[in-house]
Amino acid sequence: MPVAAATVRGFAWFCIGYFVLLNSASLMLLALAAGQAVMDGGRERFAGLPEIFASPLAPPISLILPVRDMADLIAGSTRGLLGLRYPEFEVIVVDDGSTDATFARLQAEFGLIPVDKVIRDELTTAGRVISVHAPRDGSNLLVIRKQGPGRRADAVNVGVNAARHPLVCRVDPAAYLDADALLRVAKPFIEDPARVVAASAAIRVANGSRIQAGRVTRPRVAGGWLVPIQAAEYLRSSLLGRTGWSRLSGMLPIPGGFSVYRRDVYELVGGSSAGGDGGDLEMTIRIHQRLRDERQPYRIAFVPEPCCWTVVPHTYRRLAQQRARWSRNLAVALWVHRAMIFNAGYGKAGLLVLPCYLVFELVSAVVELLAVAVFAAGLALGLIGPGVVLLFATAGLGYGAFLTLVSVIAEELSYHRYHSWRDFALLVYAAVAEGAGFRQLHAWWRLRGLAGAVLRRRPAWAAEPGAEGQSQPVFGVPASGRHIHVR
Amino acid sequence: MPAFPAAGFLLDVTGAGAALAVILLLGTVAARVLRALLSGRRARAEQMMRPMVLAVVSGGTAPAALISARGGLGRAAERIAFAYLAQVRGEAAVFLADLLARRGTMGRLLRLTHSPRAHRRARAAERLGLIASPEAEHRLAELVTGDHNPEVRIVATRALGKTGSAVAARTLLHSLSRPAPVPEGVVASALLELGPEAVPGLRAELAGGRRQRAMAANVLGLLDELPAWEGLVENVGSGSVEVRASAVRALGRLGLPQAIGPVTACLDAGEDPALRAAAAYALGRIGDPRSAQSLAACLEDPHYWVAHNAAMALAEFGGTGVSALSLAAAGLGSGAAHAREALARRALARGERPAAPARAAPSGQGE
Repeated sequence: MPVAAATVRGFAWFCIGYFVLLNSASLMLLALAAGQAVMDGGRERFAGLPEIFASPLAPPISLILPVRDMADLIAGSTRGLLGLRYPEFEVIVVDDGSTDATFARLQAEFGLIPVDKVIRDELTTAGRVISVHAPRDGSNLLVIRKQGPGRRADAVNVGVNAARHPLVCRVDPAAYLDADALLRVAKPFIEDPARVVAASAAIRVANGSRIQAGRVTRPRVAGGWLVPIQAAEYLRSSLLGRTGWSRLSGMLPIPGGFSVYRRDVYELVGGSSAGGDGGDLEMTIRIHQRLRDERQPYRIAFVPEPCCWTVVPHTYRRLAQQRARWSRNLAVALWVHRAMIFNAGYGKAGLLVLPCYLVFELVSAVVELLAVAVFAAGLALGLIGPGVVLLFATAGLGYGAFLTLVSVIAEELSYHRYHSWRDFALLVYAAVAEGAGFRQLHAWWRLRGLAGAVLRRRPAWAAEPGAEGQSQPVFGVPASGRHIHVR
Repeated sequence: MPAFPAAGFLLDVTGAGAALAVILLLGTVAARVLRALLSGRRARAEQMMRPMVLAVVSGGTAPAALISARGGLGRAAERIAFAYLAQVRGEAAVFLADLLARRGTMGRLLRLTHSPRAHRRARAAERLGLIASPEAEHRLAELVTGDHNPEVRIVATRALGKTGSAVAARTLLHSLSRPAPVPEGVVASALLELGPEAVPGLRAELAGGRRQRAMAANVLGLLDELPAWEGLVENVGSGSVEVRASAVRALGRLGLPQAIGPVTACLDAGEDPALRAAAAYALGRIGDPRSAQSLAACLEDPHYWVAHNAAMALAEFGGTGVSALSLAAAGLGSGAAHAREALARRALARGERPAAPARAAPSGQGE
């Protein structure tokens, strides 16, 4: 019994130390990022976006939208992309074997006709291309139908193979872009064309927002439990976490929701699926690895100004699937590139970023769940006192809530996208409520993802959040362009 | 085994964290309230000053209240004046610059460029570029080459591009060879903004270093600087692929038939594929049917971009090019596919219905 008590106490101290270390590292990143975010709020006025819009030096961009079974949403999403402000771009919709009326809707909306198109074979793809279509009016849209379902990465690779322009932009079907999103994200490429190889921007949650003609016209935070917590999470991780890593030149990962790459670099590393199923993170690591190996100077830029809005899952089932997939991708990516971890040859990526992802992202799910079990059992058996439990709650949950709160405050003082007091109150509530059940559930979902990686289960195409189990569209933009609200 | 902390210590830590969180929250609430108040006040001030500034834009006399406005009203007047200054040209811009001079804005902005806070220096630089006086230009040149903050240097570079002077062009080009230069793309954009004033310096750079030559060629092409064609042709013949491809693209933009010879020579199979692709693109821009035969020979090229650009270039030629494409389209292989694609795109651009695709699936590994 004394051995068991000592073990439990030792583990309890380990957990407390682990969470103090994890949250302190996050606090350091947040501090770096918060300063940047507040400064960027003042810089917005001289961002030079009108100059970029008028500049013939702005590199043309191919936007790639991989879709599957999105009949209700596809016309609005595509029209939203076609309405972006940018000097020259094309939209390539890759229909990955839809079984519903996705293609028929596109055909009716844009007057598509079949055309000849030579698609390169630079990147490996799995599904055969069935046909290529373009609008009768010659506008900058291309629709590719391919056999499916493959992985989303296949659809993206087909789009990159068909792309004409030197920059390729991956857009998630559940994402809404601000009208000047491309101008913002292309700015680093224009300013530093020799070094910038990829760029992405901060992503926010669209659920609850007012959307018109494919644009978020009034950002709101949806009510309930799951969505506000995700909105606060996105503030913390997508804006501040990435900005912090970007300031340390260790940007990981480039989010798949909205990211721009130099096409030649995308092809050089073998595209989305070359490294297995590690998703966006794996591809970002591959870029670091390849360019470091070749001793090429490069930079992955991050635009902290939020200009992309994504629909997040509002049901447990979808959220669980999404988080398990993310965790699985992280595990796969770290496994594939294990040789880079703690490898000084890869600079900050090898010595700092990847170890942090391993120790604080991947392992934290295991530690968190074990901690809950051990603390509960230890308390019930009288092996540890309530003081230790309180200390653990403070170090893990309280400190975590504090970090989220700082993110919410940084958003308020910098970009101030959410104007109403209700939204502010919901985000503060979410920062506190996250620790009361959500974090533990999240840890469980992540653990399942980790198990999936170990057991080598391959995920299928993820259904778009919000599109599940409903016959009526709840997001997207009807052709009429009337206002809608996202659940 | 260390002893667990005392309850008092735990309470202290938790309490301190909670207190800090509450203080931050209260501060944020106060900031929100303050922002709402200031925003209302700012809107009212702008509403009051806008008609006066508009009167100046349309050539009226500036009222004394506008010249002497200070505090919130003064800031509102300047915000409106600079917003218009960014959009107007000619007399209206002169009237606004005169108004700002009489308000003493120039002196204030020059002082602000010495502020320890980078974003203030950047904002001042941006506004100085809109005023575009000799003092402003001089100070902007100092910021471009001497400010320690890269963001300020970028904003000053962009602002210098708006001043429209030959001295500014020299400063911008000179800045490229300094340690920690402003990114080349920003300098190129500023030079483009300067327009004809930048041309002498750019033409001189055609004999400069590798990156300067590539940038100069690129900008001269975008400026439609026809007399620069001989310098560009010299760069087509020698140097790195990057420089040669930039010069070839620039010649394409100029669209001079005199350039056909040197550009067509770049299609040679022994050249780098990137240069050959640039040459095919440039020949399409020049649009002279004399190069049709050379381009048609590239349709079967194993390098995608060479064949693709050649087909697209032929589609630009009208009759001769379309005939060559139609002939190629009737065949088999990748040349035929490129030709059919180019014909389809040409038809769509002209509002015509393209021919039905020859086969269900284009080339690619998935087939």
